[in-house]
Amino acid sequence: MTIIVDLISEKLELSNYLNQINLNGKTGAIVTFSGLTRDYFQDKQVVTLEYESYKEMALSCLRQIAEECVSRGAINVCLVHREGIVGINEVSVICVVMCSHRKLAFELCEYSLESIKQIVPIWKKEIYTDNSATWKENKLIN
Amino acid sequence: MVRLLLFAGIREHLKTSSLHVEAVSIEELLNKLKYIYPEITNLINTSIVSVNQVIRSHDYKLEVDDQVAIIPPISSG
Repeated sequence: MTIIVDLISEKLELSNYLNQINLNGKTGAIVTFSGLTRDYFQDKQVVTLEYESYKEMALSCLRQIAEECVSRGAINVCLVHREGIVGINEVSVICVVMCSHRKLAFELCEYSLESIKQIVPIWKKEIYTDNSATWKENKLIN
Repeated sequence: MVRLLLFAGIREHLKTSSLHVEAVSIEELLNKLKYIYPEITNLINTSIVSVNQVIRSHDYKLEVDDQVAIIPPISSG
């Protein structure tokens, strides 16, 4: 069983993390999610995004989510989020869940992303072409 | 004295990422902040508070050297 959680300021490459996980013959499904930054919000043009975190607590929350996935049957889990300046079209978050079967892998991958959006203390600021900026707030799905 | 960590809009308004504050409870700490910095009252009212990385209610009693963080609505993902 492998758990990888991280907050990084460099470009996030999914393959770097997939290569760190040794498959043990039990994994039948790998579901990955990559969240990308968009260049618009409603009618505003977004130039760049800036992520800020409460690093110690964010890492601890990511680990808590990954451990919950393992307790529900995941074999390996990798949850990584960007911080700092993130350009348009870049990956801001990845969730990788490996399980014996696909149904559980899909379910836990979605669970891990929704949990990240609900509990991990990370903030995103959108900066627009007119030099205005907004700290965003997630819409929580209960 | 507790160490108070500030993030996002609150950090920007106060132009600092941490403060040291004398308070015996979260409620007292928040009331002090709102009194000294009335311009961030709305931001404080929509935030939650953690003590040593655990979310706590406003009646939670603080101890010396606790690390308190005001956590505005998050936007991870």
